Amino acid sequence: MTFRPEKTWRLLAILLAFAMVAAACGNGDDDTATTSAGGDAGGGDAQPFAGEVVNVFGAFVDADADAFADTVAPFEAATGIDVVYEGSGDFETQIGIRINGGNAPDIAMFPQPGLWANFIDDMIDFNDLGVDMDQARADLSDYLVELPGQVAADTGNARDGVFGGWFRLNTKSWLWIPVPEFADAGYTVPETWDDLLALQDQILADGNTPWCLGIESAGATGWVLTDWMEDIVLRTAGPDVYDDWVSNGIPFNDPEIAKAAQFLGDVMFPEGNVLGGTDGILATPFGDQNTPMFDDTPACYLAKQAGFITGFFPDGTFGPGVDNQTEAIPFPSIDGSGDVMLGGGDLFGVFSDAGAVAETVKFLVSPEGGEGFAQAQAGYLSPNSRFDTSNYVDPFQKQQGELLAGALGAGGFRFDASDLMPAAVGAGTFWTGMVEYVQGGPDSLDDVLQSIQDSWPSS
Amino acid sequence: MSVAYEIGMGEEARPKTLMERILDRWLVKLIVVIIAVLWLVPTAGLLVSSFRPADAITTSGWWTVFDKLADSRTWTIENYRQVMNADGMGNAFLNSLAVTIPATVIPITIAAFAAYAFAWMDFRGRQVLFVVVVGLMVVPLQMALIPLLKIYTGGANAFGIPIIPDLDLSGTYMGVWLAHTGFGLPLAIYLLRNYIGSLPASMMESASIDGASHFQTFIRLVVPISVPAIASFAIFQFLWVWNDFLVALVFLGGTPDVSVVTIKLAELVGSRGQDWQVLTAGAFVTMILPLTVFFGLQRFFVRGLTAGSVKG
Repeated sequence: MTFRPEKTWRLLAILLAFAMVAAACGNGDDDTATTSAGGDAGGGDAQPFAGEVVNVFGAFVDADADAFADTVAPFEAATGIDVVYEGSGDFETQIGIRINGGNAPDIAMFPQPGLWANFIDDMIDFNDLGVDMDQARADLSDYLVELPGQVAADTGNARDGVFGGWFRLNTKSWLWIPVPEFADAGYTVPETWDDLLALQDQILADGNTPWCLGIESAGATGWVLTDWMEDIVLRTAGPDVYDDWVSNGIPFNDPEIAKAAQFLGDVMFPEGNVLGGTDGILATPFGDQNTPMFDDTPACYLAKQAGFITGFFPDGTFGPGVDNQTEAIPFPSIDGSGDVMLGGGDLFGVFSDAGAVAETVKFLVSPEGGEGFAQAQAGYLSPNSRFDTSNYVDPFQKQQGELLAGALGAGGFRFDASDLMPAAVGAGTFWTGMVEYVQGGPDSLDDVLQSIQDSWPSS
Repeated sequence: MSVAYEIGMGEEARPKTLMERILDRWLVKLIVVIIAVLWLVPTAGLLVSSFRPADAITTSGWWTVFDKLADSRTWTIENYRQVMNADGMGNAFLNSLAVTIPATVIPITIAAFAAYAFAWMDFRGRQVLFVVVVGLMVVPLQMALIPLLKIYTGGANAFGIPIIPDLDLSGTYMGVWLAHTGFGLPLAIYLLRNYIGSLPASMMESASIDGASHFQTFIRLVVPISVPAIASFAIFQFLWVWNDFLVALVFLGGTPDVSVVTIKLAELVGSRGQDWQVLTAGAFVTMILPLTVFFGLQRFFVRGLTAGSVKG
């Protein structure tokens, strides 16, 4: 076969020309975007920051990213600032590359406070941005305002000032039950841990399986059970002991923590108590955990998972305009524990002191900062006590919002402990330890807790 | 190659037994078929899954569809609808092309020149330079991300003297083209040098006697007969850049106006991975172009790979 050089060259030339056109089109889009932004901005003198761009980088993507665009739209219209959000599922590695590479975003939203603390030296103090911290403290609760500083201190990154703001929270202390089958079977919603254990026995006695529990999450397998532990510790030992536990003020093998693990064992280990037994716990992806509950005859009657699990439910089982087949009930109280709620949230740091950035930060911490987000995404919960709850459009969102506000007001809200602990533990041995506990059974508990404690970084 | 070679030798030595003839004809084919099937089964499963509803994927394996092929509940195009209708998917395709084509053409052009120089031009330190270039292949590109980004955003200074000016390349197409060029060059130069170096020396000599300069020899002679090697590397580079997620995310970013297909796809899965079923359809949507390129250039592909290795 002979090659025809002219032909090949022509092909290459066409390809190259095509690419240049594509690139030009891309740039063309940029141009129109800027001009239209400029056009809007030119509208009036009321926009003090017309045409300025604020870059926000975060971990949430897709529908959440659209919701963020909704939430800043009124702010953009009022100020002329163009808030450009970029989300990446790879946020944890990307943010390090960008900051170290000198390409930090103006504002970054960290899902893990521990990660946030790593970059505290590059951040701008909220006081220097002109944020009213007294108001913020009143709005957010002492715990939330002080938590970032505490995390920074615990991770050896202590720095004077305020460097973290809260944008949104989520809640984790929820059990899920099938409706109407749960009530039809004669079961009542457990108010206390004793109720829960009694209910377990009742379900077992009826020949049914009480729990659906699945923790498989690839490299992060184990976090589902760390959430369980946290919810139980928060109730059996109380928020103060919980804080000590997070900072390793009490060791991991403290009797209080061991007690919580035994409570968890009372759910996981009894014969027939969990669908699929301990093998099922380890092999079922956390997102599929609740699915058997939607069978015509529910394969289980109880499951525990954070509020975001609704995103994993099969279509047509839960949500607006649907005949709900499941319902969330609060995690039962233990030994009279009060208003407590386990949760997580997005903590943002600021890397630029430009006027437009300061203005954006003030908007994000204001009660209005999350309104558009709340309306667009039922997963959004505001950390701000002055937030107008009529923006919660979904019943479950309202339910979460009420319990969250109650717990924040009573000082009983606690952030996910594994996200606050040093990564070696919180995203390492605590996860693997829980997996070993499932595999090893009740007798392995002492060894597991001891080995987690041994892995705590000495600093 | 070696299998075929040994069998060929045996044929000349003595007549073959029936068994050997069966082995000749079928064993190799059988092994090829088995390997092909092993490789294709997961892909076929993915294809089947991409047409199944999300609930069905979670509750049963893709092979169970063969029991209920005609059932309308078994099949859906919802996943494809979700991918194709996603905001900015068309734009992402254009962005991917705008990144991929120059990021394929530029390194090949440079590599072809360099390969010719390494193979046929005499200059001091040629071998050392070549070894350094080849040695660069072992450096993981991840190591270069942060330093390169620093240069893009702030230039580089040595002892207060600017060596590389601050070109503000971060977030531009030029920035990502350069990055891909740098990451692709060592392998490109190595492959092309091997091919161009194996061309007969007599050919170069006669070109030189006829009065051709190095440049003329390269353009008129070497490039036309190196097309198989160039095309086969073009496919490699094209597929690598098209499927690349990391380099694009670091140097171009994920904002909607510049995000490429891979980044768009990763976003579709949702903040907590709840919509992972769209990945099945997304994989096939993004595969269309690479497959077209591969089948379009495949006659070069096989030739190019073998041409360099078995010559002489």
